[in-house]
Amino acid sequence: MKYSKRAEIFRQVKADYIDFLASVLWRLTGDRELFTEAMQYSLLGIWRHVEKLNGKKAASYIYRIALTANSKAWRNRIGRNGQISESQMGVAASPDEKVSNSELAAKVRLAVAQLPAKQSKAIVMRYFQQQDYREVAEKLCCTEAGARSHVSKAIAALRGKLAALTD
Amino acid sequence: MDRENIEEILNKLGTEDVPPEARQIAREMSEDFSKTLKQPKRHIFLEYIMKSKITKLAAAAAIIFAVALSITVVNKLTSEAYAIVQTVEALKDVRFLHLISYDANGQVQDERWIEIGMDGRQIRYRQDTPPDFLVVEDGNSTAAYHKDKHAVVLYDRKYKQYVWVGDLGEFFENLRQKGTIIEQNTNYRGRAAHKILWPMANAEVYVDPVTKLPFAIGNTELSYEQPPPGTFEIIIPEGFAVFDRRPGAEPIEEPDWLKREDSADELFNKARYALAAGNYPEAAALFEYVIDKQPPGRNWAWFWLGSTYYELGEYDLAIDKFSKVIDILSSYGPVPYCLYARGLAYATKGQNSTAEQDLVKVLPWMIQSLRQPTAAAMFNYADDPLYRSLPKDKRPTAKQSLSMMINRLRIITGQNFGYDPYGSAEENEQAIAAWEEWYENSGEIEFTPDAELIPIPKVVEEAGK
Repeated sequence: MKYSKRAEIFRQVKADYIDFLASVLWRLTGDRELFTEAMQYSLLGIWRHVEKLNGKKAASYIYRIALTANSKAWRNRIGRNGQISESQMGVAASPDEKVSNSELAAKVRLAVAQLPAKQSKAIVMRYFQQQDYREVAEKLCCTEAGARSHVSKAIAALRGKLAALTD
Repeated sequence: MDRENIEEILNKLGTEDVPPEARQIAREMSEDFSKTLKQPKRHIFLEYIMKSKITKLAAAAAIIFAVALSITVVNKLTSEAYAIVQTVEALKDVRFLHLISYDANGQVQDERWIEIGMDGRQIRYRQDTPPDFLVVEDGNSTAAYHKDKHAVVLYDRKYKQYVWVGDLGEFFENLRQKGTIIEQNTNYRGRAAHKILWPMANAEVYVDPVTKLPFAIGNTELSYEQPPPGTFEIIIPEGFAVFDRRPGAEPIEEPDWLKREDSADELFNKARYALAAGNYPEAAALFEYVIDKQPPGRNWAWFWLGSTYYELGEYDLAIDKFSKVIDILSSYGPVPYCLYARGLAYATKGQNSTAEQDLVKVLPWMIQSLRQPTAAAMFNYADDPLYRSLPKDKRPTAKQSLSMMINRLRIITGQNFGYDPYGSAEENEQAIAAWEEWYENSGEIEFTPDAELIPIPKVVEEAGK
């Protein structure tokens, strides 16, 4: 594909999906620093895969790019022990503090970043984007039962990962 | 925590408002990114960058700066472009290095001063490793202070030299050729910094945005001030015995502890050869002797003792020794080759989840080394106890190194992307890209001891490098 064509698609994708991408990445990262880093990775990912983003499956690819970017940003952040340090968590100061600022929310986000691709995609669509199973199934190219299964497996995996992170 | 709790938290995260600031940042970043697409040349750079997914942001910054194009992959916190070449240039003017390493508790582990000559080589040196060890080199002689023994041993510098890194020139050259930027305008312990990857440093390096000089390598802090007067002077403290081993010195009866130190060096070398020859019981006995006599600073004796026990099927002992190395080197950050070795030992024992914790940390280094074979040097060194004795032209070539790393990756991941050391550059480029793609999208550890391994080429056509 010609460079000028790729640039044109990139600009179109940017116009169509930047708010969507921001919304997904913010919920996945929860803080400005991680968000900015994940956004950089996402923009480079979009440029790299731009030829795949010129069709009906664009949204699905954007999910994948966002999840990969998020995982990389988290991977850069987590410490030598594979866990986030206290100083990086934005530990909750009071019980009624919003969940996005709590230690638990940070751990959930980290655990989501460590899920296999399909499971994290399913979790993001189902919970972070509040889509019903029919929509999740459509985007994952599977049956509704399959979508439920991905979500269910993801929840089970998250439970295990959170148990390990809170030990 | 049960399923309901998790679903509740996920739901809360999903229904929270996205702050307008996030959308604003996203729009500005994407707009600025779009602007960089206007010049055709950028296409070439971006295509190049995309080949290396691990380092694309870093490579982008370095390459773009080097050709003096005013492009940045925008971070809204970024105010000024930075390139590795600036650090390389800044290091040329450095005459003194001051290094302080801290242990995990923040206590000083050792402090070093290095004077660098115009040729980039170390000319004077001082290392103070509390509580008992001090070395001073004044340019002609080396003095090893044994505070616990109230003794100083003097050597001719030609025969006994202490160093921070083996060859400073090679170390800096490695930065010039292989260094990449990981993150610009970040911070390290509250201090503004650019984070870079310096393969030979084997640790994350933080660079001062103003001076462009590194100020932290792992947990070692660097500065460049002139040392206090007398830093490189050999001064014999009152009451200390002197054992002068320099040529022409009067022969003197030496104490047993000094003889044992000599014999520990000698036995260390014998142990290396025993391990390389597969004589594991002898190697174990010799390495045990060495670390018993000289526990501090003998990280390679600890490591190869671990390797020896691994070969003997004594996995708990192997894990214990590898853990010791990780502990000794904790101030330098992660020790990739040792995490790999310990991960393998755990996995062989059947402790897969513990193994995974080590292996998942080392995986990024391994993937990165597919593009930068020098990053694999420490793995090769660890695998071959005779490596340090090999002349440079006998050490693994880039292609051999790459083949060995692919095999290591196959064992811990079970993946096989078809690399062939004798294959075409294009095919092998696809294999490396496939590894990177896999790492980005999955990167899961799966211990596969019976993975199909590729032969390590004995003679390699360098044209394909």
